[in-house]
Amino acid sequence: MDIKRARVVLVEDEKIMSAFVLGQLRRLGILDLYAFEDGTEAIREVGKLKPDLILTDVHMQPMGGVEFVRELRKAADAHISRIPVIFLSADSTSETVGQVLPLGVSGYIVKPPTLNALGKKIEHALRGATSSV
Amino acid sequence: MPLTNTSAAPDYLDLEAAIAQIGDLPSVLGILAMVEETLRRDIPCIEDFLAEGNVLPAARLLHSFKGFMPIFCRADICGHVSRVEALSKTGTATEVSPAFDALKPELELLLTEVTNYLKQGSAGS
Repeated sequence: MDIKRARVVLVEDEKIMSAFVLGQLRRLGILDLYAFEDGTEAIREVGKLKPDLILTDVHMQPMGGVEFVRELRKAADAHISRIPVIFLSADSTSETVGQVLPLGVSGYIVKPPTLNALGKKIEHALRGATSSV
Repeated sequence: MPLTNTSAAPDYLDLEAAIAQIGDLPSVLGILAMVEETLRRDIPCIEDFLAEGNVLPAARLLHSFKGFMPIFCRADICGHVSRVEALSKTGTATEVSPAFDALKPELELLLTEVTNYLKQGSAGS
């Protein structure tokens, strides 16, 4: 899939990081963008939006990224449950990475993401590849 | 508008890196306005939380600083924030408070640099 035609959802509770990542996505030519501040809001909307890709933070309140993706993977609609997910986090500890790996993720990027890393991970995810953490 | 503060070279802001990462000056100014608001609000909050013995919310705020600061700050202050943030994940308020006290003047200087830069921007527009 052409990266510029992708519909992308960003789940990020930190205002500065959200603005930065949305700016990076626009620089990559991705303009069909939706942003939510935590997993609770995102899980309600993802079923309607049917995005091609989700980028999510790990540590958020009330619903963090790990719980959000667990809920996503339980969705009855296979299109929703299989949406590629890339985690974004300032936390690169093996404990956190170990929590997200079993969720079938397409990538894990340490914040702040560089344009190059973000573009490569997104292209990889849109090709349907997983576990490039 | 100059990339650097001409009256005094900034100690912690790295505007060339910010433009390289963010893409253009108007976007950098937009992000820095949010940074100013965040630092002004959250530096005293972290101090208050630690004074109350409440490490977890202080750790959350430090974690968010650690995430966004490499976009526009020099490596030394980013490293200092990372060390205090790492301590806040496991340490008590008594242990984290002195570490934050040592970091706070650097964060306040960063806030001053951001404010001065934004003033230059508004004066130049």
